[in-house]
Amino acid sequence: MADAWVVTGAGLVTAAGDDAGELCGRVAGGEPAPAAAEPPPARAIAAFDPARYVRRKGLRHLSPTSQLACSAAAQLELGLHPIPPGEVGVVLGSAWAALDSIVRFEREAWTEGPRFVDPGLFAETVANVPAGHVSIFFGWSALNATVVAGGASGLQAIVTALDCLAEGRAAVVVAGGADGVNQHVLRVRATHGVASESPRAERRDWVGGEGSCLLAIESGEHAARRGARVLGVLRRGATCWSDPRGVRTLEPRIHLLRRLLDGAGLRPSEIDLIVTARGGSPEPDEAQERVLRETFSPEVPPRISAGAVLGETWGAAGAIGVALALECVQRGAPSERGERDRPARDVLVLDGCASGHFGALLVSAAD
Amino acid sequence: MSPPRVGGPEPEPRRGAAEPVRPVVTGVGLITPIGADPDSFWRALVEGRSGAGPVRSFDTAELPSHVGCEVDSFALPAAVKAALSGGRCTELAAFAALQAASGAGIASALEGAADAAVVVGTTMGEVTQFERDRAEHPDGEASVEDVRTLVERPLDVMARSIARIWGLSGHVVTAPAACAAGSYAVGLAASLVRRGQARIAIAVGCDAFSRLAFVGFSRMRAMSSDACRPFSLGRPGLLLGEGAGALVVEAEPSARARGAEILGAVEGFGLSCDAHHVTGPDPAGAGAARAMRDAMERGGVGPDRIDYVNAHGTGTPLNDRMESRALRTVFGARAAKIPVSSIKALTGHMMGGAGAVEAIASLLAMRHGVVPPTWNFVAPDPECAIDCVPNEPRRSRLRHVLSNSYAFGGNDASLLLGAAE
Repeated sequence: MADAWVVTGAGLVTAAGDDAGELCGRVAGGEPAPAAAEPPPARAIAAFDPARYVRRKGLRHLSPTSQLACSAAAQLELGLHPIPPGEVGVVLGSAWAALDSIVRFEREAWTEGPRFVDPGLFAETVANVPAGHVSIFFGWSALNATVVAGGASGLQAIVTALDCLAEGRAAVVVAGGADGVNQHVLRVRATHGVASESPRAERRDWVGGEGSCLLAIESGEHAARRGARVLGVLRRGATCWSDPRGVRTLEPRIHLLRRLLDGAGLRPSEIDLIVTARGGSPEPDEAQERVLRETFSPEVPPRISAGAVLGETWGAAGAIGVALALECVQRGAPSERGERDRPARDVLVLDGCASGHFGALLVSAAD
Repeated sequence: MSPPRVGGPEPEPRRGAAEPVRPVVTGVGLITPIGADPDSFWRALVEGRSGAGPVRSFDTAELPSHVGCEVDSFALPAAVKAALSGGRCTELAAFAALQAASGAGIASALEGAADAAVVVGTTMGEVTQFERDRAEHPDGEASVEDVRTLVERPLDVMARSIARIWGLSGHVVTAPAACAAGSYAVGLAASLVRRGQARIAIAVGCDAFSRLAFVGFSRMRAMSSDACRPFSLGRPGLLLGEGAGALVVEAEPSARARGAEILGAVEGFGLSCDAHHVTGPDPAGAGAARAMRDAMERGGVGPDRIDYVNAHGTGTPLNDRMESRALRTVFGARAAKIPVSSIKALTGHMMGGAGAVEAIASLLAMRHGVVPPTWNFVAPDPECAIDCVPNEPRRSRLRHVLSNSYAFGGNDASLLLGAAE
């Protein structure tokens, strides 16, 4: 483990709470988080208050994505306290980042007049500012990056973080994703017939959601030196994009998974569990199943997904998937009976979206 | 079709350890307010032709400034335009990327490639169509139709569109690092090549002229009402610009094997974060200094071997003072002797496009053996005690150049670029 990348902390904010174990239980039981009553329906975080997590001033004016990112990061602060903040970097994935703030800024600029719009709101229209707030609040200054790869933004952030660690850019990288529920996205998707206007809690098809999840990632050697508890090992990760309009959309994804497994020295049959990006949209979900059948034939390992519980959490989804995987390698995977089986050894986390982004990460139990 | 490369998080515990592959630049493309190809752009830089003029994209009557740096009309091949999913920002990015791929002689070799990456840096992305739609009925809340293009053209649409031009299916990612985004794109692309995760990477920085950004910078009192005068005493602020720059980055051995002309190398990519304020730079310039040192350390080049610094140099009082201080921190007494210049006096601040275009300017400076000056310079500022090469190009043999970019969020990036040979 000394020569591996390990996770030593996970901060989580979701509509099903901020405890990965509880989330895992809901996934096992197929119990969705409550949906917002206002259409378009979304599994928004009820009574979300960032002050519960972040003991600092200035939260109120931040965008929802910034608040969510800072709230997840705050859960890591104590565990990272002994490390000089200049050795900690931040990589955040977000699919929509500043979209809500852009719409608000434009409204204010037109209604109040361009000479009177709040300049503080201008900052929130810039997509990398949520990650900037994380660095500012916690002093983490080794590097700061935001990455966007559609629904795979969260895994992209983690893969980028692994590259940054490999290049010696930081001793620890806080990486993951965040996206606030975005009514503009939901309204436009509703016109495509993708998001229903029904706010039923029992829905199993595509529902918008929100959340954030950040992981503290470092080398096993660094974690051992500082006596940090290891939640799991990140073996390898990769992302790709293929044109969803193309005729060979799935080939790159299958190649990616095969190379990922080969690189980790694992046979497909050795994967105990897959945490999928299944979100309720028929076409992407079916495409994902075809990729898995092709890669794991004859038998695809058991799959779980937070999508049915949390809805589509966009940039947060991949990192939430990793948090679920870490829970499964530590305390056991949820079974079809709604209980926990024995802890998994090797878990594959997938992330992706209809726009063609795809990501995968191998998570293993700590020795 | 070869399979995509897989990110290999193999620990490399030694910071700045010898890297396996040197990423070199074999093609550049750009579209800016002062030129839409490298030659005309370079001539404008050394002749002092500014891209500033009255804003054409939207009405500025209610704003304190009416000057900006916009790109003249440009044309994309019809087939390419039809394949793009975005608007003006995507078209600027595609224009630059096509020019770079053509210059590198790889346009046909890219077709269907699975080991070619696209990395795009942007600040605002495709916001301009939303601005126009909103202007049609500005009262009240935005309608579904108002926000439709914003939702259907998210920040990654430029990267996906460029990948679609050649049917690429590798690493396609967007780094929205605000005004440092272009440098992030170049640096991340070089890292992918250096680590063997991509054979070729197309790095693009881009932004279109945005009313939102114009209003935002105006409200921050960061805008000049006439000209941008980086490092000059009494400088009033920045001019907003637009544009795109693209660089084809590939592994040196394969570039040499195919007989490609090498325009320079990305020797180092330094990153840091101020962790100070979301819009204002750390006055001490500590993060900016760390990023410069990081780039040099990674490239194995000491401060004594830097021949020129292409500054972020926005022309705002705060940025230029901070950057000068960071240069003094890094270079000590030599800071007053190293040529430092900002091309933003002519191009305006192209935001996400700036870092990529300025990297191209740095490569051209090495190729021509000329430091492009800081135009519009009026008088020295004692708080900017650097040699900012005022108003006259300067001949000099340039082997290593630092190109700096700083951004909202406290993002600091420095590229160490090396000459072709």
